[in-house]
Amino acid sequence: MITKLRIAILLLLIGGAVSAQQVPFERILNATKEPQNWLTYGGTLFNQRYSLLTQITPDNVKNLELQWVLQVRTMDATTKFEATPLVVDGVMYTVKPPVPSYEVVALDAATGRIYWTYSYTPAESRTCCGRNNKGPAIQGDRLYLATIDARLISIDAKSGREIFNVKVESPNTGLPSDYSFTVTPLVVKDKVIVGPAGGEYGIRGYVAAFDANTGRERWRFHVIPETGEPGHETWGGKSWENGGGSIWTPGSYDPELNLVYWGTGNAGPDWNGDPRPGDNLYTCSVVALDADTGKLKWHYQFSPHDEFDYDSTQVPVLADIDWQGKPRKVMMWANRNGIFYVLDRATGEFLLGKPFVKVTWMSGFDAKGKPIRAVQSSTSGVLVYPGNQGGTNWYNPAFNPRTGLFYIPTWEGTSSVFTKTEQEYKPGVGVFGGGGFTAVVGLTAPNTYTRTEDEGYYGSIKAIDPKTGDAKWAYKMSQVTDSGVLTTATNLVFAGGREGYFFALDARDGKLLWKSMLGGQVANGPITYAVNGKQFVSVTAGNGLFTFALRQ
Amino acid sequence: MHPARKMPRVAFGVIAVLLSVSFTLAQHGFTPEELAQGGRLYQSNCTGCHGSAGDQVQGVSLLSGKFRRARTDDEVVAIIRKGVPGTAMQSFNFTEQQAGMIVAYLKSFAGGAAAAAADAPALGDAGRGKQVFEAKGNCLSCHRVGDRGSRVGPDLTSIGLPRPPIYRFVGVAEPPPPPSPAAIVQQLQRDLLDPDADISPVNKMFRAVLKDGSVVTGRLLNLDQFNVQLLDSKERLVTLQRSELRESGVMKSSMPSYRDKLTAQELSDLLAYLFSLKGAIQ
Repeated sequence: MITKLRIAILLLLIGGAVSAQQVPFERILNATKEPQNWLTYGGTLFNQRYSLLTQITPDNVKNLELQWVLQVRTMDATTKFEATPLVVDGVMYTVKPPVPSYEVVALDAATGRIYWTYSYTPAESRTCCGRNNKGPAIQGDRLYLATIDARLISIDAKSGREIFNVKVESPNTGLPSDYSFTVTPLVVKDKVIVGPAGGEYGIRGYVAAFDANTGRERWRFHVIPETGEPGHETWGGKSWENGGGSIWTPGSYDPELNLVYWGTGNAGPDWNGDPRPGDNLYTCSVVALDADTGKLKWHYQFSPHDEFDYDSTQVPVLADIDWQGKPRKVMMWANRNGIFYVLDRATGEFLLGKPFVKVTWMSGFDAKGKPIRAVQSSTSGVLVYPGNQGGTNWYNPAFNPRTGLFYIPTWEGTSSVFTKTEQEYKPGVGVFGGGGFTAVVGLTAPNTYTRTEDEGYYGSIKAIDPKTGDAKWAYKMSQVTDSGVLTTATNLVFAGGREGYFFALDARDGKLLWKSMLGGQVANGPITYAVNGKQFVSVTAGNGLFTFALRQ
Repeated sequence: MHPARKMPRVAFGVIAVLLSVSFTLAQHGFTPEELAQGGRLYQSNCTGCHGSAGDQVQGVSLLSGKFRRARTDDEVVAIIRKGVPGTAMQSFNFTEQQAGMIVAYLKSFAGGAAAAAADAPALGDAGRGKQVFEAKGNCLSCHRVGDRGSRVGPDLTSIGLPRPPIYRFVGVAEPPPPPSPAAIVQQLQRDLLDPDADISPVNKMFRAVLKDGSVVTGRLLNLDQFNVQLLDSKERLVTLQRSELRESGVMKSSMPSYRDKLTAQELSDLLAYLFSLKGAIQ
């Protein structure tokens, strides 16, 4: 027995090269057992972005220093470096955004030196908000990349060679495709699951699973139900055909329930709900799907009949926590609509909903947890909190089981004046159905100027107690933030902001412990990993990926 | 084939047609609605390169009323419809009427009396206004025009152009037309009479008291959670750590109201001068 164990350990030490499958799905399922690696977008399939690494602590975090930088090609005006890297046994994989070409790189995670580069130039494609990509996924010996020209690409993780590059079938809205992938694929067992962005271009959103070996489609869930399917009645007329419901953040997976969870985007046209009377299921929702068949198990709609662009494209964060004295499998969700939710992830039951920023679009919940709408879009303009960019957005939150707190990158006190206009759907033309005046807009050029302290809005990293929905602390910034959050077992929180700072906070009280000026806006979620016993922290800002470790 | 390549063969005829059409346009003039429509066309088609104030292309200031490659309105109309070969200025598929409305909109910002609508303050003489600006008003002690004056206050070289909006519009509802010349004149008048009423985020004055009691004031360049950066009253670029400040904050404008400092005639002349400042055109 002991000998066998020793051999197994020896084989592990020699490295994955011995085995045919470098990252079998079992490794991803048990990712918490190897905290030195970062195997999925959110660290594990629960997407908590919580690390068990303990070398960097509140006491020594002030000794972090820069180890290396990965530069990407100069961005265009709207593209951000949003990719979350993966780290497997000392090798980091990430992807440079397609300006003009994707460059997937494998590099030494300790030195930043590149082993290989895989390049792909996508066909012309329409994106509302930049040629972004949230990063690759890995399983076996392969990386998976979903592209803005609606293709799924598989790449050999050792050599960078392309294994397959398949077109994902989407309803034809003319060329170029209005269906574009910016999402990190979710790998579950032998399937790679993705969904398209394009909610501003009249798409009909879907979540689709593909055979990890061949790229062949295995199942597809339509965010907007067909004629005759339940939920179809929540769409007036033919509005369902181009009603949006995009996917642009990765899903989560619960192996015991065998369910995948995905957040869905806004209904289209964005700011005018008149052409689409009804609740518009399953837009602005979370859907729980059978991982093998794609069948809908349950759903919860955060923003029925949305008119304020409140995409529910946040990463579902799963945890098993004590809920009113009993252990419960929950899902925590800080929504763009400004409300923090706790749901039962086995049944979809609404357990808690509480605003984490100023919210005026709703006035409370009915008995079933459906929001009571307080304002409607109008042709003359209506002031709504939170604004068009939301109380938070796609950038990931984090949950720390040790502190029991949920950390949200927030936009506090932002608002928009929403105005609706009539607009017919035309293939290839943005269908917004109106617009909004807003002081704070989505991230564009990566400058870090700010003079806004006295304007009444700001960004913060806010710690929420999921049992009550109340804020425990908030770390206030001068500007809003597009940064995700990372938290560790040593009670650290890492995040950044538009001012260009990357910083570490004490996860218990929000006290600032360390900061570094990176000269560009932070627009992804930090990760942490270890190589040969040395812990690293990586984050992107502006046009670079910056990696830190303790001074030796 | 690119349409522009065909031009030489028919150029004479086209120019002749353009001349006659624009002559007609000039004759009947443009209604306020047509001017606003020209503004919208400008906003949707031209601001990507030229900017809403028309001054984003180096050496070009579209709202100054002066054009490098054209002397008459119909020449500008022709440039819009044909483009400028060898430059980034492409051809646009507008009718003469549409291009004419754009030109009328651009030209409505230039000149004095012609620009002022009924509800705008009367504009005096820009030449006399320049005297007021430099002598009695003592404006150069804080402001800069071209290469003259102080850098501490807002640079006024292009103050006669529309200012960038503080609020951004997201979406495709029809945005309101860009500010009219009358609105710019009204804004300039408000700036002179009530300097604190409407300060752009880039023109805030900031005051910081250091722990030793010394005071630093200047124009705010950048403010984040750790640092504040100023162009101080001696035109030095200064970075202060906010943790080292006893107190700090945005202060009222140090500009006096000119309501009682200048006569009505002087104010009207000064307005005319300020409205004439539309950046350099080479």
